[in-house]
Amino acid sequence: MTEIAIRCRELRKVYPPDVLAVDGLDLEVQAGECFGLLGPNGAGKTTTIEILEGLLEPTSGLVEVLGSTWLKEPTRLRQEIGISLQETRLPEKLSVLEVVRLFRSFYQDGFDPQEAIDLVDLGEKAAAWVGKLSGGQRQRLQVACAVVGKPRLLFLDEPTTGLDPQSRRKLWEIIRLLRNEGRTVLLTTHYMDEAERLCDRVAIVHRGRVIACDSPPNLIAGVGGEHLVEFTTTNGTLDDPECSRLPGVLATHRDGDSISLVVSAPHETVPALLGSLDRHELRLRSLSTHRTTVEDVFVRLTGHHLDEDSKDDDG
Amino acid sequence: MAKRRAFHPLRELLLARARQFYREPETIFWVYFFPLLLMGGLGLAFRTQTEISVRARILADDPRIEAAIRQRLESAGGVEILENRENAEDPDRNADEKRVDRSSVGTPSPMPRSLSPSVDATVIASGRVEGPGGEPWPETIELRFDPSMPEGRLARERIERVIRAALAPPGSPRIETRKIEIRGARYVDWLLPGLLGLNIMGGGLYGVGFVSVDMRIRKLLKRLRATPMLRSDFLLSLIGGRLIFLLPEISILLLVGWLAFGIAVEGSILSVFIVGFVGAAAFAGIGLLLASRARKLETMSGLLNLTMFPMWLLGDVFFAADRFPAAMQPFLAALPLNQLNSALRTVILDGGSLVDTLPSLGIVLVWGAVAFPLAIRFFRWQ
Repeated sequence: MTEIAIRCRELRKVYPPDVLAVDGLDLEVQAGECFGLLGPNGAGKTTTIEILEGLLEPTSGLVEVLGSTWLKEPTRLRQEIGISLQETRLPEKLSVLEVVRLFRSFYQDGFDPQEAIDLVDLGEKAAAWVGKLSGGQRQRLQVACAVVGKPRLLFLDEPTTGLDPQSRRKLWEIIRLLRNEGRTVLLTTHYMDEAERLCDRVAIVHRGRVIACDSPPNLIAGVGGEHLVEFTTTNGTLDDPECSRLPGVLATHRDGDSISLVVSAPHETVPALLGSLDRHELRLRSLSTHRTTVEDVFVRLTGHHLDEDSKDDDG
Repeated sequence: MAKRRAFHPLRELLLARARQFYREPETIFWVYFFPLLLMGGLGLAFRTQTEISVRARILADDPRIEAAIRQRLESAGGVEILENRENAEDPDRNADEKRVDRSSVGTPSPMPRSLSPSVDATVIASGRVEGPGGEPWPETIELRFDPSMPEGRLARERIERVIRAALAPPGSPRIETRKIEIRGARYVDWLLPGLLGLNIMGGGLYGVGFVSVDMRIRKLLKRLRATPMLRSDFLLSLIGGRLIFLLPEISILLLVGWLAFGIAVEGSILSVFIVGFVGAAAFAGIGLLLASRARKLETMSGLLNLTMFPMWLLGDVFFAADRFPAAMQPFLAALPLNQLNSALRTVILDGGSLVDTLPSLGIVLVWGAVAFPLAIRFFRWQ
């Protein structure tokens, strides 16, 4: 039986007067997994993670962290979790080593500060002031502060937001390393590729609820196929029955004049599609194929794209 | 068995405070050098206060009378006679009166009038009789001055003395004056403890209040709350930091006061530091209370100005608070800075012991004792 690191049931958070940030959210994170909360800005991810971190009080609902609750054992939980918040600005005039030492001093047990700094690959910057670090380096310093107490459970709120691709990949490596050491990681993100590559399981959060929760491959399989063929035509359109007769087509979706086909094998579908368009004397304006992503899952489930901000709350 | 902790949180928090403080050149300037500049500037400006000369104008119908009065005032010294070229020929006394009124009762200024070009007193001579030495002398002398101005009162006193001396019968005693300078009674002696108090107030309010609001804005408070850090360690580090920074603050000011102005501490130096520490802790509490809710630096600036500005004026620093109207005295006596300054002066100027400072220091302590629990009660971590 796997140990449960985080469990929450029917979690609700209402900000006065009546902003509903989290609306009956259920979640179960197993020990040792890297779990992602994926959703657009304003979906309620940060509110959820801050309740789990014991920084916010839920309006109602059950929250269990590492087999206990924030009311029962706040001191033990603080010792056993590590946190990286969004938008913390660490003191500019302290060096990397000084900051990590400071955070280390709060924990009974933990890494040697230099060890934590090496872990996030900031060894060369140990003596540099925080004010001189790049965005990616600052973010890695945040992670160093989060792990220096050797936490069993690590919360990372939007760890790679605003970073360049190289810095993001570097952080992914570090997060994988931490997970492989047996730590549980819960992270929030609005990047689907991050969720897909990094997380063992992903919960898609929309308007304060979990609308899907599974491993990325299973989520994608839930859409019905591994590939998407998307095309538009200039004169007229191909009707649905015609589309579903094409070999390998599992489902057809329309978004305006764009048609997307969920297919099992694009190398069989595409030549047949071209033949069919030819017979109907339709001309292609665009044609693309790609592997189904978590983004497609999100769009399918919500009708919105991940980069659209949710309008009804503040996240 | 308790494991020895390699990293003590309070020590690390204090180190972090100290490092950030000393790595900020601006802070160093305002905390350590600005008070010295104030002391130097004001100490020099007011060193010559007893030498201030007042400005007077003489209006007489007869130029010989004007010359007689002028000669006596000038030989007595301390009164500068302003030329009134066109006025001498101006027959219209009323026009001139207007000018006199405007110049001497014009804008009220709490600053020494020696900085302003206007007249401190006007001597208006009319009529003609035979004077003490046989020369023409006025029948009446009208002296116009503004009693709300120190220079006006001084002018009146000096001019009146000269004229009475001129009229005195021969053989009556002459008044000799001699300047003496008593150490400890100069303006700069009185100023130094006030500047010390002012610095202790500023350090507490800024060093604790501003710093904690800044940490709140940086979401650093929230981040620290997310660790097992004890809140008491955090608060102690803020106050402890203040006490550490205070040591050089007090030392530098006392040392420079002694070297530049020969200001000696009459009481024990240790007592000065103890009074300073109590004051710093109390103002740290007030700073923390002001900072307990503020979410913006602008809000905090406003609150700090609101708190500090009245005390700059009324806090017994630059102007002696006992000169303010009696009705204000109970209010002034309740201000923490006034009491801190009074305790500092008791030790530095009067050579008093810590026991002698207790009535004042007690009120400072009450401020701290009220502010701290309230601050902790209302403190917003995020």
